[in-house]
Amino acid sequence: MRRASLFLLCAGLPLLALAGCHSKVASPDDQVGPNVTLPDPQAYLLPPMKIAPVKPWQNGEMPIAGAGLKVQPFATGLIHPRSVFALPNGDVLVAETDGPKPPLNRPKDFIMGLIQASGKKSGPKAPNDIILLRDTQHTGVADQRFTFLTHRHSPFGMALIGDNLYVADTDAVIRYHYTPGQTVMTDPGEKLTDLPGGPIDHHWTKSMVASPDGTKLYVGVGSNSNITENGMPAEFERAAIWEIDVATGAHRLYATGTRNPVGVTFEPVTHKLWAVVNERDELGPNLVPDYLTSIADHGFYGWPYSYWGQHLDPRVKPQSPEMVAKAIVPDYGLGSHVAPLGIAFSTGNAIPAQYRGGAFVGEHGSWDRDPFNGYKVIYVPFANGRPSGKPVDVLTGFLTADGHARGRPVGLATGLDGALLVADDVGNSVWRVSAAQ
Amino acid sequence: MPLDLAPRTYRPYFAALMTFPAACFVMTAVTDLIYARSANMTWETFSIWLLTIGLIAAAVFVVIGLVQAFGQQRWPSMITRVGYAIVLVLSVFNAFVHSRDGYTSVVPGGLMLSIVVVLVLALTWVMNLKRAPRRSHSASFLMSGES
Repeated sequence: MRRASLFLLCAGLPLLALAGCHSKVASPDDQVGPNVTLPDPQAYLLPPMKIAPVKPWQNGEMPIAGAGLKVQPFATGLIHPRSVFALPNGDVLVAETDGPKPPLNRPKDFIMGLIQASGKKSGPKAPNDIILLRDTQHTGVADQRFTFLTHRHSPFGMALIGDNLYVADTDAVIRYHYTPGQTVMTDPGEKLTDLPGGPIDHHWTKSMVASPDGTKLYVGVGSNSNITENGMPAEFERAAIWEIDVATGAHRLYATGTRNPVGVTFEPVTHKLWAVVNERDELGPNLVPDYLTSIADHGFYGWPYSYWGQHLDPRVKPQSPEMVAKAIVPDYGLGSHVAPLGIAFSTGNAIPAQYRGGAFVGEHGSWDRDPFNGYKVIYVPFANGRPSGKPVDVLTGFLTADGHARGRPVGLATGLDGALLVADDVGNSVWRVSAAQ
Repeated sequence: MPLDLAPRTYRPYFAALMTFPAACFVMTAVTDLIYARSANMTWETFSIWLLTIGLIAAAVFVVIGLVQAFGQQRWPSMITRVGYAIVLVLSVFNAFVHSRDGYTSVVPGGLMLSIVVVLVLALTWVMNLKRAPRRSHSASFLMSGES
């Protein structure tokens, strides 16, 4: 037995060495923009997990606004706010939401659950409610708060068409009759259509946007796995952007191969659909870049077979050469593992001119990459409906110097005046960003 | 030599107990082979659970083996000790490989490790058989230091 322990020790040493060798990581900067550098994929023995422990904002601390901008606490003391939606009368809806409890399919699910729990603030569980915030004095800080809609099934996407408010729960789109000014939803709501939900529901958020003409809803439906480890049948109609007909509830897959499209929105000049998509994990610290892209009707964006066009993923069997050949290269890389979970185009006057016309993107931040990546809100300038330059930081300071997370940006919305609203699900706040003066 | 009348409970349990993890690891190789042929993730899920259960059971049995070895001076044979040490180290690696996502959780590294583990188990078993002296039924409890 002495010999056995010696054996175990000898075998354990290379294991520790492997775990320690992730320190030299190339800069992610050359993965931001239309052309990205892609290293060769790696296979891990121990995938890196680097979660920022939570250290909440204290005594009025706030994120740092970019040049020419100021930040205000539109609302604080919320519970896990993930998405924001601005109503036409100035009221703001916030979903206090979290995903359903994931099933234990493999031992890894248990371990990852434990590790990821360390990056969540202890405290009350998200109630899966929608809160209505109102800034009656137009100060940039909400002074009234109402519980608008309670006990939904992990709601995320919200859209308004005429007097119908649509809420995308993780498993269905629900339609409510909405009267401007109401502070509590009294309509019990009716289901427009089911969405792919449990029992696995790996990527549970259902982002949603209404088409400019008000006849369709577009819903981002994430994959049911990192890279098909739950089997292809679990991916039926997932990793796709659904187009739902508002009149009938019928749907079709508008685009596919988008692993986890958490933000979908229309570009205001060309009225084309754009999305931010979260790419696959465990191929390396600089694979695969998450991206911002226009979404083509019937477009295929690679998942699971390939990434960034025709780069094959070695973990997918059987492969599909005919699908890989069709895979569209995304428009604009955001960097690997930054986790873009929100997008909003900048339009109104409350934002200085240099931040108008492009897209704000909320980067929730990495959990499987050392050093961290993301943890900020950026602005991607646009010209003629296309990204036209390097991104600019809009909101930073979510990470402390010693690697603690004060907050993590998630869903974005632009208010009627054009001010940017940012949900912060670790800081439990909604931040309002507007022109500095 | 005086007759050793120590109760049967003093035999080292380790080798007998380790047949359970060994069965798990043999089944891992079987489900790995089926996965490699079918690419049906269900079989990979079988493999990682078999590995995990085998390793958790083995951890308990190693503790029992150590208590018996140091507390009661009842050591399993050197072949058993070395054989299972190799099997367990390889299986820990194999569990990490099997915790990858998708095809590379099995092919090629995981499947190779699973097969090597089965070969080491078979070799351990054969070598133990070969070195064990022929013994009569009535004298079997005299072999208390062996397994």
